[in-house]
Amino acid sequence: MIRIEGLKKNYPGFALDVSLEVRPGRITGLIGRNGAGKSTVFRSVLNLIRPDGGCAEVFGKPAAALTEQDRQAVGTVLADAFLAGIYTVGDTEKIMRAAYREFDAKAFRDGCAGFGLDPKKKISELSTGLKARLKVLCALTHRAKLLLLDEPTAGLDVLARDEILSMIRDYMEQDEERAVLISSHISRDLETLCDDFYMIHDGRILLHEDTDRVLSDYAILKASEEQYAALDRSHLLRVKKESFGWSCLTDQRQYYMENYPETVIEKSGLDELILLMAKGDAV
Amino acid sequence: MKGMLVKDMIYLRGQWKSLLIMAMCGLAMSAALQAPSMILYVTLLGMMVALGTLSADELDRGYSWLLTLPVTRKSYVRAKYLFTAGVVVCCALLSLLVTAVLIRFQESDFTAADLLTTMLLSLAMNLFIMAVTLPLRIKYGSQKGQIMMIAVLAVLVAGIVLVVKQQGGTLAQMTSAPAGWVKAALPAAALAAAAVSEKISERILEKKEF
Repeated sequence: MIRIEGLKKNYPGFALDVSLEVRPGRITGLIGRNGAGKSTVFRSVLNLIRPDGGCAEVFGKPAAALTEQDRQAVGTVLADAFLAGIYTVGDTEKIMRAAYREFDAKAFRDGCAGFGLDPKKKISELSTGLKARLKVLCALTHRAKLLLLDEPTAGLDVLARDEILSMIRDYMEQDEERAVLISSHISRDLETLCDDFYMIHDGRILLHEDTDRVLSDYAILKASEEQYAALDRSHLLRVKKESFGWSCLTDQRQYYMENYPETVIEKSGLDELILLMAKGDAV
Repeated sequence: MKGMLVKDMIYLRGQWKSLLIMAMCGLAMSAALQAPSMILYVTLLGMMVALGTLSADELDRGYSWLLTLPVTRKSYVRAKYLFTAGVVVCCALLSLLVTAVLIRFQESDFTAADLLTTMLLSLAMNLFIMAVTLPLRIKYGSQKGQIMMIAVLAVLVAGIVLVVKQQGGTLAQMTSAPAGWVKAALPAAALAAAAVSEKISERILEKKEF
């Protein structure tokens, strides 16, 4: 669905250089802290910015060559952009209906009713949560094959986030050929949703891994100086000096559990993984 | 493109108060002056309201979101020209109709030919202004674009005054009684300018990043 190869974009003080792939039937996460380059990746895929090098392909075509017909099959949420606040929720429906051939007005209205979105209310009058729900509804109600969701849960409380993540899951269950690229700086959202994820930091992809593998095989070793000195470091991805000794990230949890039973070994969530990948040192 | 036109129509519907005040002023002007000046006035204001859609598109980084819809940059620009020109034509026809009725009741000296000429010149003038304004507004945004537009129009007016002075006539003579060839050539030239302007705007938007 999406293939990004050596995509480069340079801004003063920031350089993006990434490669990634989103395959049909998969929810792929793009995770990284604010300013890591997530939105720049989305904007490249959507042809909102022109890359300085490399390519971003959608449906096998360069992003800049997508036709109106191709764009019918893409649903988008942008973190910081939407229809102007002067339009109402009802106006949004009219615009979506005119823009998308397969717009499902009933699903949109049902969604609005379920979320308490008043059709007469202006977008500028909506709360952050309601606006986020409206953005997601727009992306999900025209039977898109590909969803590009840049921070769809940003600024929401845990209940609202869960509601939106459920909508995305339901959407994927309706058609196995659909695909989603979703970004978030809230790792827990992606941990429960994504099949695989890319970790981006300072414009570079630091890691690409299946979520299941991270949750089962990745671990943090908390070792004292003596324990660290005795460790086999060939399976350590990153290490970081701590007050108690060393935190070590590994993707071979079982190996260390069997061979170093005296060392504290904790399962790695995405948050810990991000911290160590971004702040730790390579071995 | 249909989505963009519907969006702009909704914007226009939201400006109904401005449009009503505009129409009332036009009527008052026409009744007081007993002249077809209402056509010029209403058409120009209609175009200004239509250009407001560009400012609306800029709000809340709307451009970025709009360009993720099934619309290419080229079709976005085409929709904008089509919409603005459509509003101008509708305003011209409507004001022509109202003026014709008013003049009939006022037993004015103006003939149907005068009204048609005024409408054609008004259309031409507005198409010229649109041709200058839209590329500037798309390139520089609404605020800077307006300043640039005023500057460009000032230069144009200064140029026209200079040419008229060199020809030995007056601006009033030229605008009140344009020669036959001017009447015919102006609308054609305005259409050509709009077509060239549309291509320029397409290129500007193609290069823009959001």
